[in-house]
Amino acid sequence: MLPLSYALRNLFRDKSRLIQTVGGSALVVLLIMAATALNGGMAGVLSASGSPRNAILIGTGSEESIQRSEVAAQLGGIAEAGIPGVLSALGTPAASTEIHYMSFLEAKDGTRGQGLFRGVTLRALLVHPEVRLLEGTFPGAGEVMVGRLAWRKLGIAEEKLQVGSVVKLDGSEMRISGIFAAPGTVMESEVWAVLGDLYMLAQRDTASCVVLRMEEAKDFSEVELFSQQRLDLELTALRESDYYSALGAFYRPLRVMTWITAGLVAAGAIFGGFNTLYAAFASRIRELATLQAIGFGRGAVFFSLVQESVIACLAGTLLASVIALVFLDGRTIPFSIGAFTVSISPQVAIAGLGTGILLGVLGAVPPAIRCLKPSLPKALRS
Amino acid sequence: MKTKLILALACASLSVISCEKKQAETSESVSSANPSLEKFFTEEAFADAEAIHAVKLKAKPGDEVVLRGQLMGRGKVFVDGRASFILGDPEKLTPCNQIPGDGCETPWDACCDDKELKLASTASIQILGEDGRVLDGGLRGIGGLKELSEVTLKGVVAEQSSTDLLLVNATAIHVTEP
Repeated sequence: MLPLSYALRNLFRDKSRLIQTVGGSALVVLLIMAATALNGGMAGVLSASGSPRNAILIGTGSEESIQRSEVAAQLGGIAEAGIPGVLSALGTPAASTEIHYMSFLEAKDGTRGQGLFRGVTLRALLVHPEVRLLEGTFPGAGEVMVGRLAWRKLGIAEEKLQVGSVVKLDGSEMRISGIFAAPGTVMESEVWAVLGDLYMLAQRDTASCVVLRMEEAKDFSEVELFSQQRLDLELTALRESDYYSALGAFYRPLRVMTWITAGLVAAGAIFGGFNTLYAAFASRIRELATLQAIGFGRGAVFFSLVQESVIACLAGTLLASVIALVFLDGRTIPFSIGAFTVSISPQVAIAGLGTGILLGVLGAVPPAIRCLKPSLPKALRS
Repeated sequence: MKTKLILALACASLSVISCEKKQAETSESVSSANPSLEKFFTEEAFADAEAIHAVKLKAKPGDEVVLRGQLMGRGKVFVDGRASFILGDPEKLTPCNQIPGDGCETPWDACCDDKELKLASTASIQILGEDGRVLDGGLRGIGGLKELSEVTLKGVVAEQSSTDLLLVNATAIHVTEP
């Protein structure tokens, strides 16, 4: 075996080639890490947003968008009385009548952004137990409560959405009563108001849905049965987790595009790497033949060449990891129904490391084989 | 020769995986069925069965009715794990597979008919246990019952029924055309 120091010394023989290899691999690894983190973040927020214990009753035909759904305002009462298995907390059934309404919020300085508004009652806290008030109070009439990531989704400065600030919703001034968290869910990007206010602001006399929290996930069949027994109400029952999974499927083309982009850049980088390493190894054919002549086997020389390439790519991986941690980790990315936080998790780091090693091996094998293919006398004379 | 052998082995392993998947799906649908539901299915059709729209006009809670229809009127006509389905009136509703050139993947939802017509031409059918609750166990597959199956059934109009809603507690079901 050739010593590791031989491979290390060779790396620094041509500094411009080294920069090219390290830079190229860093770019590819960074793209793969970003694609993994973005896809994981979006899929994670959508899957965490729906609980399998929650059932949603929406209007038939609106299965793909709660915002389009219309159900009778009194459905909550009918459902909690007619469906067995609904969770009850201190005698209050966990049945939340809600309005989901997409509109614009305007800050005091005139900046405005589009976001999702949810009209709720206190019962929403029974069906969405992940919601926690961080500051202030639950909204009353003329007030709203904002999710801690709502500023990112709305594109309004965070300091404009503090407790006590006044904002405009559809021309009506509303005071921010509180800030809430709902870790890892789309609710963190929403603005919640009392149901009565949203009936008025959205100019509707119907709700969007009724969310029921069941004692057990298997009790969902009771909700589905209710929707069939009450054909006159024209309802569809959905598991909340299924609703958000379906939304995840809607965003699949977007996620596929990020992978295709990363894949194309990676393919380009691999071919670029081939060229660089062909040139680097070809200029050393006689040296490699001499090593064989003095007793090093072809396998040992081949391994050393691959080692050289892998070390360069791992340096690129390290660089990409540092860039990802500094510039990507913790960033909030808005998308149409909310926002998610990018996290450079161990899985993302492993994806980056795997890509770096793969690039090093794939990039070195064909040029190494080509340079070691000629017979020893021919190589020594080249 | 070697390549052919590898290809043959790959195809064989894929077919084994595929068969295993089908077996798993079948066993799942069988396991969710309740054997006691089969006694509600009869071999003989009910000759005096009436169309849903006609029954809806006159039926009152507690009346015994004999209905004929087709499993349609919604995207999902069965309730998973419960003895219930939606029966549509083929004299009023048109499943999408009867519309030339319509490639709808769920023809039983009768999506080309309007909401009011669907409401007037569908009935909710359920099988109750002795405790008055809808029995556990799905009905799909029993007696060949599936979406768009033609059935005749005998039952009693449930108390919750109204002019807009026909809810029938079935006592006997005959699958005319699975």
